[in-house]
Amino acid sequence: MSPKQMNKTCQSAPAHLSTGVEIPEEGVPVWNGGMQYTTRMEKRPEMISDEATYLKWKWRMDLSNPATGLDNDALIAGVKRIVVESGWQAGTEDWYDVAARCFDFLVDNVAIGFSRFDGFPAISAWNRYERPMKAILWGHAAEVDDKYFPGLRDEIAKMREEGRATIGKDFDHSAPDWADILKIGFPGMKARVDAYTQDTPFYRAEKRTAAAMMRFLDRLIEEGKRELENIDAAIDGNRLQSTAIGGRVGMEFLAKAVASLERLRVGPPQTVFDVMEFTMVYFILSEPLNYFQVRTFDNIDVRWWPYYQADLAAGRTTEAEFREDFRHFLWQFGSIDNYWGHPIYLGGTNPDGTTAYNPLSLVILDVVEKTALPTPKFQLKMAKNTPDEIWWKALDMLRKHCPLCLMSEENMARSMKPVGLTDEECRDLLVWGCFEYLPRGKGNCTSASRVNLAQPIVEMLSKAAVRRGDDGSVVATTFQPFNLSTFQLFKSEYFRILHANADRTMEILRKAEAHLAEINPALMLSLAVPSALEKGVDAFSLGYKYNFTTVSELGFATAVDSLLAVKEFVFDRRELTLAELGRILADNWEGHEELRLRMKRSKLKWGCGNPEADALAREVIEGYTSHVVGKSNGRGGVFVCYGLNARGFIEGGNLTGATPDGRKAGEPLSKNMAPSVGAETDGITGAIRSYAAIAPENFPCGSIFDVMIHPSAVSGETGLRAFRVLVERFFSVGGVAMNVNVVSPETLRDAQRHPEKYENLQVRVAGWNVRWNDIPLREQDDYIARIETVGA
Amino acid sequence: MKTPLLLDVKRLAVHDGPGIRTTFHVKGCPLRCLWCHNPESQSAERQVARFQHLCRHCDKCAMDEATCPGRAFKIYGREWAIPQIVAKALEDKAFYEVSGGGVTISGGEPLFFPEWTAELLRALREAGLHTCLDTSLFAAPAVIEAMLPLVDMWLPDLKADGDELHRRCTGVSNAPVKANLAHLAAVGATMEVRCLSVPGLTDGADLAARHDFLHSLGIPDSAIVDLAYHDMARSKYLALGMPDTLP
Repeated sequence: MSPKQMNKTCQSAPAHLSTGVEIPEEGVPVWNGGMQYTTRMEKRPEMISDEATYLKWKWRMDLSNPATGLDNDALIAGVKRIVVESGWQAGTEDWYDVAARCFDFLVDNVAIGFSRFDGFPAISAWNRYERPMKAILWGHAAEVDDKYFPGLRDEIAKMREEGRATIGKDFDHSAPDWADILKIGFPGMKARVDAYTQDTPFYRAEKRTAAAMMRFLDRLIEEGKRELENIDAAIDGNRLQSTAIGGRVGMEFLAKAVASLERLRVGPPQTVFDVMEFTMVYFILSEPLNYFQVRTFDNIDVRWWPYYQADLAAGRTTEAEFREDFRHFLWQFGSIDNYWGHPIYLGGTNPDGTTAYNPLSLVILDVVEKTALPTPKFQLKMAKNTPDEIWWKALDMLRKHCPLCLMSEENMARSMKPVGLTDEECRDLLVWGCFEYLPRGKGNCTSASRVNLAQPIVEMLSKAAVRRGDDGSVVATTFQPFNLSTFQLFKSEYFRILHANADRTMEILRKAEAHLAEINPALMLSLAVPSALEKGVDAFSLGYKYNFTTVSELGFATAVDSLLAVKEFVFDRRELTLAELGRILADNWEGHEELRLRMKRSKLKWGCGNPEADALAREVIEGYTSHVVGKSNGRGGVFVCYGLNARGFIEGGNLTGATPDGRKAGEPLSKNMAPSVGAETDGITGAIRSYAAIAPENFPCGSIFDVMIHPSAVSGETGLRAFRVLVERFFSVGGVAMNVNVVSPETLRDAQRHPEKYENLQVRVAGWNVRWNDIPLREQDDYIARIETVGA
Repeated sequence: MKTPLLLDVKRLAVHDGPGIRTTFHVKGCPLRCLWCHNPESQSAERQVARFQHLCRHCDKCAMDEATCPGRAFKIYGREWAIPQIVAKALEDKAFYEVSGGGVTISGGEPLFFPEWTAELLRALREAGLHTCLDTSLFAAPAVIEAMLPLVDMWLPDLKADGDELHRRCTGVSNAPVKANLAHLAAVGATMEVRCLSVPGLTDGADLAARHDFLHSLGIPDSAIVDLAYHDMARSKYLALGMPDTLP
């Protein structure tokens, strides 16, 4: 047992929580961020004495009651010990059993806490970058690879070193069908798995998980009650004024939470607050403890509406109370240092074709706007039936940098048809992650790999630049190795290498994903997926009707612009040979700055509505996606493509040599499905025309288009109407998701110089928001360059 | 026919008339407004500018916009044939159609090139595009008359009410401007009149007087837009080697 034994529970009052005394220096983890993306360090608070401070820091430091269990370090030590002492290495114990024992341990021993400032529990495993299971899972993943495919990791490393593809292993994304689990609640989930009588590692683990889940509820209820008594005693002892924030009001809030947890212990959620509490508890069990990110909370306006209506009718809540509860709910995720943001979506279409938006949608949006957090991020399904009030509210919020992403419901459905979904499955697609989507309750998608569309060009020109002499030394020459006498031949060679890279990536992924469940069994998710329980297999890796694997693109626009540059300067204008260009690129443009600038500023780029560029862009994207989409992934599913690379465009740039579009080695590649920075010379309308040309429906499961808009273009009512036209036009040409930033270069430059003046300035990355001050200078420069190109 | 050089093509112009528009700026203007925020639009000749704050002081300046590493070297004024302009405008037709937008011709001063402007407007109308004319209205009545059937919406300025003030600030009398405004109002032309308010020069009483004059022509407040002054064009005066006249 740790130094903070469980049996100390309730022996001393956890005064740091309830009465606002100073937090001890010792034992409070500093927010070091792990793999976080921020460049900013905030001073942790000395005191938690008000609601705002509590909510802001809840998931950035340990605010649990140490008397109730172990801190994160002790939890990590505990799971490590379980693994070391397990029989997995010796082959006498199945990994499912080991994982379930780890989950048991974490659920029973994680320190928990409640505050008078909040209605949702805190846990000591607060640091999303150091979740306890991480300490064993990555090493274990390598062991599994070595066990089944020795050398696989070397192959992955080689693909990366050569800039061909970045290949990762995804074992922590999940999207439960909330419609299903809200109907049955935690007891129903337990009853469902308990009904299976088979004694296999999978069922044993799932039953054990379900039992642990119920024990966790017991622990929360016990701690909530104890904290209530603690607050009461503090008020009675005049250590806390009853009228103070969090005093009697805090008691009422906490009492509501405890009552809700007691209801959840015996049945499904009854009230809209129950649904919030259920969501939070499921999240804790899955994401921090089971190491499975919960990548959506569903279209909450639709899902929560019946509960909200019933509460209003019965007088159980008011709109004002809901707003307050929901504000606290949002802060749970707003305070997590999660670069990706936490996804929630709104809207949809009912089976009869009417809109699924309802009055709660606007209430939710209004709270989101007023709360002004970069996360949770909200995806909005937009369709012809979407009410005007939603359109205007959403567009106005986007002008104010609120974390929204508008998505075309029609185009989402269209993009999923080619991979076999039914009309009904397409109607109710579950939006998850950054802006991706899946058939509700019937699909999952691993996503950790990206093929570099620009790499073949670098490779070809590199080969063109050199010849090896008899002694093996490199001899610069005008040697043309492929006899690439025409651009058509150059393109053919490009696709040959690209397809080979994609094939190699898919082959590696088939192996890497062959034993996903042996790495990180989706214990909580499997309880939420009936088809997995029926099949007796892990939900994440095999348990769905549709088990997709994504191979995303990297550097699409960089590749297209580079091909165009080769065509223009080598084949059309014959200014230089392939070999000469290859040598210049090998030298990273050294001594050829004038040529670099001319090639960089050529008007023949994708993103400005140039028909020739658009045609080539379509050829590239179709040449890539048609080669990948639909091929078997070895898990009973198929490969699909996302038009998304998030921050991968920077990492990919570091791995990619200089390219003929004027980019230097190491500079970022193009981002998502956006044109290269500087290429949008015909404004946003030209960029949209170019985007239309690539037929975005080539990307099943989603693609995103980055748009920078100067505030003057969307200011006032006129601007708002124009904004809607832009978005609707984008949808009408097949666009799926638009990543909009409405900001001026002057503002961004000033924010670089005076970050202190722009604490809450947010920009959108790829379906989610980040604070401007949290992104590195290089990425900030990218945003500024892009909006400067688009202009005012 | 006097043909202007084109200064700029601006997409997603949402404040140059109704809907989403493409605005074509011609180069050349008979006025010399003290507050001109586009000094590069005054001369009808091609001009080069060097923005000193962007200049990297290379050993030898290539005087080439395409290769200037700091983008300090800029050329103002390009030749565009009318069919080219129409084709460019048509690229965004889909945006105009759903937003009620179209094309705006602005300046400089388009009416400085009346025959060319009429020909362009005619071509745009034949292409089915809604047309706006952004103008100072400093033109002969016959020019206005010739444009009337070709312009869907007028976007005139009234820069100052007092003639002496107008002369001092723009170099020309406002008598033709007022006369042309009266004519447009009389024939019921669709218009939106812009009134720039320059602190210490054309604000306060002069602005009120301009409003009164417009009201006297029957132009309602809904068709009058007051614009605030800014002095963000100083770097352009410097880059062009022009005396900075900004108030």
